Amino acid sequence: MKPTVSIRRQRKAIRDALRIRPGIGKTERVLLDMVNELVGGGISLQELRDGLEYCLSEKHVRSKYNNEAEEDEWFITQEGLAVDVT
Amino acid sequence: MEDPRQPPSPRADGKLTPLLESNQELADEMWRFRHPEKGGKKVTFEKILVWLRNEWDITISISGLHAAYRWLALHRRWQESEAFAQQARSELAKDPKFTDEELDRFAERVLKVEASSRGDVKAYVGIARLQLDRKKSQASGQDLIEIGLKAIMDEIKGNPEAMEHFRAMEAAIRRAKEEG
Repeated sequence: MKPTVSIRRQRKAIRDALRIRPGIGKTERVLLDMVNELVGGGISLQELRDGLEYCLSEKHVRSKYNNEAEEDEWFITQEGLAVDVT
Repeated sequence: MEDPRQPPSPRADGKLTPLLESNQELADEMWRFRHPEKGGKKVTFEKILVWLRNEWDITISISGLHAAYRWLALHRRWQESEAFAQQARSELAKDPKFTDEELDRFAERVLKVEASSRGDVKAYVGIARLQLDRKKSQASGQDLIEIGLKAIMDEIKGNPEAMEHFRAMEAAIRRAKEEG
């Protein structure tokens, strides 16, 4: 099925969401809300995960397990920050 | 050379967000255009596009501008939530029992709860857990004090002078605990 939001926009929304307070990790749930707010809705959890996987392979994001939250939190990397600047 | 008749590339659209992030003046001004003070008039997107081109040499599409405003709204909510979280941290810091690390963890949790549009359930749980951890550590601290006192008492049993000092110390500890 064709995604409602283009893959390019999904990836950009992930970077843009993580760009906000980059030092604070975002869980999948928080990130999903944020990216949907940025694109006006339509991104599923699976699409978010696919987007994160791509961004991870490009080293634009990294994840870290948060012991308190008991789940992974996502951060943008320096490479990720530079994507939209250059 | 860029053809002015062609719509800006998506890549050009994407460059506004990082700029808004690094340039608070630009972000504030753009925000005011669409959220004027009472009685003020909203500036149209078309006029903002022209202003961006003339004043900042930024050429983007109207959908790029829409996207930038969505990001700006989200960013501002996080900024406001952060201010709220810092305020909550300052209030809590009045209680000297909390360490800086505990205060930081608390503030981060408050920020996540506040900033998330639907509320981050895990962050709520995190705040509750911080409180429980503290109670637990206080309880275990008290247990350790009791064990320590008993061990001292066993050691000095039969020494009236030492017992007298011990009773005075024990009373002082209990008084301090009662006073919190």
